[in-house]
Amino acid sequence: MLFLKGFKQRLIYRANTVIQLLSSFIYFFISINVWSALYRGKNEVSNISLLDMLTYILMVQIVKSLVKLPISQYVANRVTAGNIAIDFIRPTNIKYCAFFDSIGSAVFTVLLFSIPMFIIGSIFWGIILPIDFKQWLLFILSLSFAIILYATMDYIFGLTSFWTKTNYYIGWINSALMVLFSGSVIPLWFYPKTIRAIASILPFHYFIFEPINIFLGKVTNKEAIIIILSQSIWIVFLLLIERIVWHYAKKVITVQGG
Amino acid sequence: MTEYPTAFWAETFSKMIGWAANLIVIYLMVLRFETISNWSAYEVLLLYSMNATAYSLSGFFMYNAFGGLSQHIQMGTFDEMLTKPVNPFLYLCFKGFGTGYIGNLISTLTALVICFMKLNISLSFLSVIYFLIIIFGSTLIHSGLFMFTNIPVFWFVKNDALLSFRWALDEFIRYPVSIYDRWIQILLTLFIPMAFINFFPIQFFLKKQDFIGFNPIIVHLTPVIGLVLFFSGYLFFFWGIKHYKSTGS
Repeated sequence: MLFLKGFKQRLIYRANTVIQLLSSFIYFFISINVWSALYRGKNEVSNISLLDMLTYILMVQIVKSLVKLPISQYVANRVTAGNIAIDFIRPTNIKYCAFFDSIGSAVFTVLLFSIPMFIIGSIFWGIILPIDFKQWLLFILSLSFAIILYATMDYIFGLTSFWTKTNYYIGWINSALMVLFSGSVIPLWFYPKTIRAIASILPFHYFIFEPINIFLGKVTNKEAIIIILSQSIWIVFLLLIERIVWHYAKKVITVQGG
Repeated sequence: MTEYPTAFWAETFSKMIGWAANLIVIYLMVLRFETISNWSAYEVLLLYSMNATAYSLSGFFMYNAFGGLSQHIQMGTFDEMLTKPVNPFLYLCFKGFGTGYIGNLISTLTALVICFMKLNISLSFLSVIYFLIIIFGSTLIHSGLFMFTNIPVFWFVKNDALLSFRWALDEFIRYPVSIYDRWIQILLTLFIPMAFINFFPIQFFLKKQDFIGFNPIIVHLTPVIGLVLFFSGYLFFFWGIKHYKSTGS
């Protein structure tokens, strides 16, 4: 139900949606220019061709809008505004409210963005979709795990606002880590060894880079399964941390406003 | 700032990290491919940090003043400004002066210094002065952009579309303008002169000649363009006030 509500809300604010769509197109257009310029005079870099790269940046837009749900923002906004008091007496967990409220609007963006982009992409740049059924299945699995993993992590980020009483920093820190380690700007293939090693210890590459890596068929089926297993281990680990943080957060809560 | 020290430091520190991440990632991108349109990784980093420095400097005065204009008008609080016995433009800028950009400035200035050192740009006393003049010009261009994207709220109340358009344009000049199609180069040079913020003026210091078909004099025009944009923004503001009808309340 909440899912549909989020979807419908987006239909109402039509002007906003159009603007968001237009700027996505501009960013996509800039990325195409940048990568084409980088690849000028080169066929393959780290075994990746320009066509792979164009498919990659198109997939980043889609995966990012599904994975990067504004969970922490939802939680922190309610804490700083004092609405959190109501959430404590509600029968549903605030975590699920935040999740389903935002996934509806994310699916909306993807449907509106990805279908036209793939059509344009295949006409102008020859972008093709994988045809292997197993590859699709593994991609969808790892994407779903990425969504859950990110939501759990971002929820923990949001809970820190119980202590700090502000939400401003969360978005900045979160996006800094995403920019550096998730592969949302440059895929990890192109990183120097040491930075790649750091990135692979952290969970961020499981959000965007690895699902697309599977989608592009740059990993074997076996490696893909290992990726999905690691994602689930991270989920269990973060759920445990979330439990602990929530346990202490409940005790420090002060409701602002009245 | 002094009332909420934790919030201030959290904001400053997190913005610093956020901008540093963007600077690092653009450097790493070009590094792997060696060059983009004959610009090296440090040269591209210099483009970005120059733009970001000018933006942050302008943000100190302009962000609250003009970024908040739409809200002031919607809430009806703008009328208060007009009752003060001072120039409303100056009142707006100084009242809105904020420390929110300190974090950004720390990151971008650090990147600027690193680039100057790594690229062995020798700076004499005169060229430092000249660089400061250029940065001042770039800051004026950014200030002009703040004004031209926000002042239309006097007519339309809302300006979301213009703002997203501006952020998208800002993304263009992170990279050398020479990588784009001709029509975008012309757009960014003649119509919305954002190429003058970093792309043209920095070539004087880098001794580059990537003028995309324009006269070489173009590397020196930043302060002129900045002044023209700033003062036309200033006039635009007063024209806007003339057309302003309070929303009441």
